[in-house]
Amino acid sequence: MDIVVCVKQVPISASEGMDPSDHTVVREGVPLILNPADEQALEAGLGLVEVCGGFVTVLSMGRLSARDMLSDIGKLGVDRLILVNDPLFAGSDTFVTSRILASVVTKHIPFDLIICGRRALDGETGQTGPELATFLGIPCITNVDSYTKLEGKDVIRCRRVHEEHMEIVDVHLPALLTIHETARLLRRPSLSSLRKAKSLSVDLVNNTSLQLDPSAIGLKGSPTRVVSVSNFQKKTRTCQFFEPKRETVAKICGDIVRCAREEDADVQVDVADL
Amino acid sequence: MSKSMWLICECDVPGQFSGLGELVTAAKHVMPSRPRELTVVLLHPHPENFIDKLKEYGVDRILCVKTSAQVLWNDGLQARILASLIKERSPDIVLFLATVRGRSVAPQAAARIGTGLTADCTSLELDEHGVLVQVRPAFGENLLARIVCKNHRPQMATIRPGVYVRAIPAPLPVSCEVERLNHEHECMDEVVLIESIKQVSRQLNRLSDAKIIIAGGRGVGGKQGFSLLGELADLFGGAVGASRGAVNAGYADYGMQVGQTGRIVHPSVYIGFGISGAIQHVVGMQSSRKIIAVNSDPRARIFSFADIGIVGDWESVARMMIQSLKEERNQEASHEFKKTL
Repeated sequence: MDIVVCVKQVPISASEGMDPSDHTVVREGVPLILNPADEQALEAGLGLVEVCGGFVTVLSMGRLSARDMLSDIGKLGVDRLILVNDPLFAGSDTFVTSRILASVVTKHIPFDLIICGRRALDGETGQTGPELATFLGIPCITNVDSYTKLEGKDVIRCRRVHEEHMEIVDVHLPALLTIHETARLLRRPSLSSLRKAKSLSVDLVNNTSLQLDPSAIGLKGSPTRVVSVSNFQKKTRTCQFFEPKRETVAKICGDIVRCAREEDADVQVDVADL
Repeated sequence: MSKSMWLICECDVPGQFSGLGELVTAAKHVMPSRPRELTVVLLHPHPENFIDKLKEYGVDRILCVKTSAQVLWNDGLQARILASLIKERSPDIVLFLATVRGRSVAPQAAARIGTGLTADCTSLELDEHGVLVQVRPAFGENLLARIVCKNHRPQMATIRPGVYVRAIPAPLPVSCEVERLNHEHECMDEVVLIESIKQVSRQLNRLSDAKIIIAGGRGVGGKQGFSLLGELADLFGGAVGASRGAVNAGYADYGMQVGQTGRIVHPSVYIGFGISGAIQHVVGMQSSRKIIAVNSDPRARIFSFADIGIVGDWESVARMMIQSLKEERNQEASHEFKKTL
């Protein structure tokens, strides 16, 4: 089973900000890490191949500095590392990003299964996976927290986490899964995986090989555009400190109950107003 | 280009449309004077069962699409039918609720149509040209981005659950146009439902609705500590939340996790016990109306986000609260009893 794991490099802190000129994410000079959910996606790819055999290709689109992140991932025992990088791709929204990734996969990577993290820490859209699946014409199961390949069949059995229930679904390959943060944790490098990594390098793919219409990619080709960014209006609070005494705590309890009750009054909108 | 707004009705909880109520409120905020026709779209194997229920929401048109049962779990099939309807009818705006399913169906539909999609919006408005401005938090709730989709149609967005207050259905069905379509013949069998398991976690459910949330951090020390918080939450009629530290340590279920990688909550009162106040947790609770923090370390970060701070042992404070609530309850009970005499 050949597996492609899509990963993204994201700013380590969620507060780093955006470029005021074009409102895209600032990545210069900000510490970058592997997106947390992508760790579980990587583990899914490595774990499934361990059981079924096959190749794991790790695919990322981003800045050249993502090469170091990919090299680190290489130490875990993957078979191929691909970085998609071209100034023409800068500023792509989820629609264009998934179109570019679909083109890379179609042109360069044979696959049975694609695995992504369920969402990235920076944009938090969770859209690139489902959009990529659509462009490749394959089914997509999102929010998967456990998975297993059925023996003798081209089927992955997944557990999918919803708000109030879970679903067990079987999906026929080729398919795409997005993995939840609560799935199995990422392994550490082993002696043999480190040895394997020595012969591994990061392959670069740019638009020269993809030949996508430059007007349909990057910021220019993206259907959605960020028009402005502002700081979240956060309530500033001044903490009033109290001693942990019985009478004080009792009074605070009374306040809590009252505060929760008062808000009950104004929470209903009537359809008649429409 | 027809000027209509479509609200996509989530159809996997039979007979319940609380999510639709939120979309109706969002639509009302965007266009108080209704320059666009408001259409609800329902894809379901038995859509006729729900028509009267949908009519209570007072929309202009209901598009009832009879489908194969697969549509209930096969998001790709749902996206394919929706995309073909959208391409055929060209609505101007299409809104989904940003549930797990909505956030899977919407991007698959948008990619098929070839238009943009904004995820998890917390507010919507129309600019002076009638373009939909989609507002959403980014970067762990630290920034608010305003996003438009200028040259592609429809303008599509998923709306974060719990932001818009649910519209209350009218007591009787409001008359509107009902259109019935049939897509039963469309099947895709590459996804097969084996089992549906109800109730991931009762706490998860209650977290988004609770007026009072009692949250515990790693400082709570274990499952026993969390059952004490559970007792307190029951007395308050609230729900229990947890920090990532507590979840990772195995003290609490992931479903209870509040924060960037868990749930974003906004109760009337949030009480944090033994929580240090890591930014990843704070972004999940900072919009609570009142924040109370209990921590033995007076320099804990959580206090700079709190309205009320109690420096002390979390357990003894929690027990004092339980005691005080029980006494209050007993007093009320004896008061009631005296009235009956």
